[in-house]
Amino acid sequence: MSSTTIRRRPTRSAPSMICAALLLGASVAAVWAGTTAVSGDTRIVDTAMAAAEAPWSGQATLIVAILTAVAGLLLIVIALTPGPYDAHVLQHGGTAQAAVRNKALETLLADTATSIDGVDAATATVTNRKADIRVATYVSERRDLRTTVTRTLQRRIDALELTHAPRASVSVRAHKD
Amino acid sequence: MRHTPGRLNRVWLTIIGIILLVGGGLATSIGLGLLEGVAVGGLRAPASDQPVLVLTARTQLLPIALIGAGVVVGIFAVLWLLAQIPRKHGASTLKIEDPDSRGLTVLKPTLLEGAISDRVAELHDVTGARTVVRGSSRTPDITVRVTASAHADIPSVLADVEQRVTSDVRDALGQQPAALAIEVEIRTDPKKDTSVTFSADALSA
Repeated sequence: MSSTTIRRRPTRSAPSMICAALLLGASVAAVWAGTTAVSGDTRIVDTAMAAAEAPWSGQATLIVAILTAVAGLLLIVIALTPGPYDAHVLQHGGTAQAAVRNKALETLLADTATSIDGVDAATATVTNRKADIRVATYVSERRDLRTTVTRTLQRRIDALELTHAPRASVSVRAHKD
Repeated sequence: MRHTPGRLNRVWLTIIGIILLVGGGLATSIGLGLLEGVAVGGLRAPASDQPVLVLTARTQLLPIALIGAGVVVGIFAVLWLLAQIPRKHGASTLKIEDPDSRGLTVLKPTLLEGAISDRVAELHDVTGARTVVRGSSRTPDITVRVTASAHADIPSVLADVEQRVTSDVRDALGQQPAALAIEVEIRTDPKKDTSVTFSADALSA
């Protein structure tokens, strides 16, 4: 088994970096307030202490407390929600682990769709179970085109031999000039 | 290809989330008077009209405590930010002994990675490749990211890549890869506009 996981769930880097940056900002403020107080200027510490002397039932205290609890709940949900995988595993005859990135599948499906007669532009979004393909066309008979594109793309997906092949879902819209 | 700290992030987000949720929840409960008269382990919840914090002695202790807490939290935050940089965790120098144990060949993994990438990139329908070698010369753990063209037959490309990497690693290190992972990227084919001109003679012929 490779030490590299062939497909990954979101690493939650963005919320972690935001949290770390906020903690860093708070720590810099605390050190700055502490050092200015040690050097004789106690205005910042006095202001902070005056704010801390507000009653528990005060409006500002309650708002801060509720926002803190909501932020905590949000962080727990972000941390415990697994999130979708970033790739689809390819089953092939060999011994190697293999996977195709969701972004790569999107490129593949969009490229395949644009090669179909009548399709002027196509974009795709791939998740674990579904591949949404949006097609723009000048063709007036859009139902036939939708059937053709869906059949072609599903065949292309099936040919990849994925362990859990996503289902192709095509939407066709008239091209805007 | 590179390792990112997913588990570390989730653990610390959970810990900070629990601290904020419990703290905020307790403060809200006290403010709304829900914990009036409640005592746990000798600690009595403050009344809702009491101030949040009362410091009777304004000594030099508070600024020093602020500086201390700020430094500790700041170091933690910087380490957490640095951990976000994706790490390769590649192999150190590969050491290959000859069968008679009379000599030692030292190979930089980057050279092997470059060689494997170049060889894979030569394959049909492959437009590029990047490789990371982990483990040791006895148990090489190879990860290859292959960029294939959009019209490629992906299962066939996979079979070619696996066959080439396995045989090349065996030739280079004398060992089969202990693990081989292949990540597939797709690149859109460049569209080529071509035109054909027929002469009137050719059409009438």
